[in-house]
Amino acid sequence: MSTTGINDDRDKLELLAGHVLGDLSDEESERLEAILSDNDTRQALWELERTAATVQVAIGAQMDERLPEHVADQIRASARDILLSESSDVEAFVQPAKPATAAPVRELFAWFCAAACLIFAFSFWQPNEESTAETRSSLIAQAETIQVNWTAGKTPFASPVEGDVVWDNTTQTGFMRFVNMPINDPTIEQYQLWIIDPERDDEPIDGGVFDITSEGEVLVKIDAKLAVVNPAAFAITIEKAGGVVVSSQERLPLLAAVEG
Amino acid sequence: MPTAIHASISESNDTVDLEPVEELRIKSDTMDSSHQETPSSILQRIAEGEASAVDDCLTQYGGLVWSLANRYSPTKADAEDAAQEVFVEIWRNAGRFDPTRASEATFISMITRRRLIDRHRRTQSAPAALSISEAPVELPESPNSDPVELADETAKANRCLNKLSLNQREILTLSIQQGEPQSAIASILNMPLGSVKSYARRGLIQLRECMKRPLAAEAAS
Repeated sequence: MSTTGINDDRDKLELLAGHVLGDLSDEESERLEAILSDNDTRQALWELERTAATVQVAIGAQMDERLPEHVADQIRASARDILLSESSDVEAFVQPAKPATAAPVRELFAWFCAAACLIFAFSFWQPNEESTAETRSSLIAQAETIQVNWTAGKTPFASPVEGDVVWDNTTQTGFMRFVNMPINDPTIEQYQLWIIDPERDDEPIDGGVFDITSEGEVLVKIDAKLAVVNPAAFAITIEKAGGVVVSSQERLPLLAAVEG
Repeated sequence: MPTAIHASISESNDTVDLEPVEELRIKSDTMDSSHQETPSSILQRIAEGEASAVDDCLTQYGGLVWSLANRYSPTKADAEDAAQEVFVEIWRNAGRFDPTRASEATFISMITRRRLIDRHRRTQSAPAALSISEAPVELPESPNSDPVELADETAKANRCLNKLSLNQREILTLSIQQGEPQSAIASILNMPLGSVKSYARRGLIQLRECMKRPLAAEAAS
């Protein structure tokens, strides 16, 4: 390896270390982006991140601050929403890992009853189409509720899709209405809502993954994973099955901007 | 407006990509069937959708995440928001945890650091710079680590830290443990900012090299 090569490697590693430590300048960030595509670099980045995390655990072992209970409660609630939305059925969420040995009949019966109760409860808990429409109408009737129409995003559908977003900040509830939105195959890809809320965060809030299962008008309840402060826009992306934490926004067919 | 939204969405690519949920489940099942005598880790149980694992995770790692969120956040309210965001990331990435490549605490610390540093960057930089620095980071393929070494990684990290120069150790401790920005470290240590950056970056690179060495070689060096 030439001296230049060694210097290049050292320079690259220092950029990666700076990224892991969060101290890159804008100019360095641009240089980093140019080198992040190759596998060796990503491997080195992962090792540096792991090193910093291991050191964090090692020197932070004495840290004994307790997570406040009200924060823990909010985290539990969000976990329930997320795990439920990612779980293919209710049973998978409520049951502990299956034991290696066959369970006694009485235990199986108890599990069956628990699952049945849960499914029964959920059939009441999940709003049906009518109550969704009613709730949406009552939201619209409130003066402070936001209502904005969908417009074509940067990668519009072949045929125009109409509809709107209704959002109430006070109750943190909202609905999306779509007319003639293409039906998706949920085993391949799903729609995902993003709520752009610069007052809260530069990063869009995940508004939930959903499917369109019928033609005509469809109402979908918004499932914001974090508290929304003042939404500036709502965007729909098409993602792989299960959704993503961060969207590359390669496919962004619908956008609803809230007029300031 | 659309331009701002574009930047806003792309600038948040700080997390590992998620694999399809179904794929994760298949992996978990495979792992379970081959190691039935070994209890699943908390993250594996979360990936399997086990509700009680959420409480276990909060009990086990709530203090770690909260301590870091406090150190990296300017206010209590910000720390509360940050802790919630971190746990959302943890739930969503639980299926990617591979116990042969990192300990659970290290994996959670990685997710926590990424999220907290990202939040800090957003308050410091212009949006245009963020989309550049937040390129997607995938977990690369790599040979599995020795389980014995993984179990000892915390002790090894402490030994490796002790091999750094005093300046490097002090700066990295302030940066990694206390979450102090480097400008603040420069002020605390009365040192030029450029020197602080160099010490920190080179110190971390040395730590990585030291951590990669096998136990015997590391102990001998």
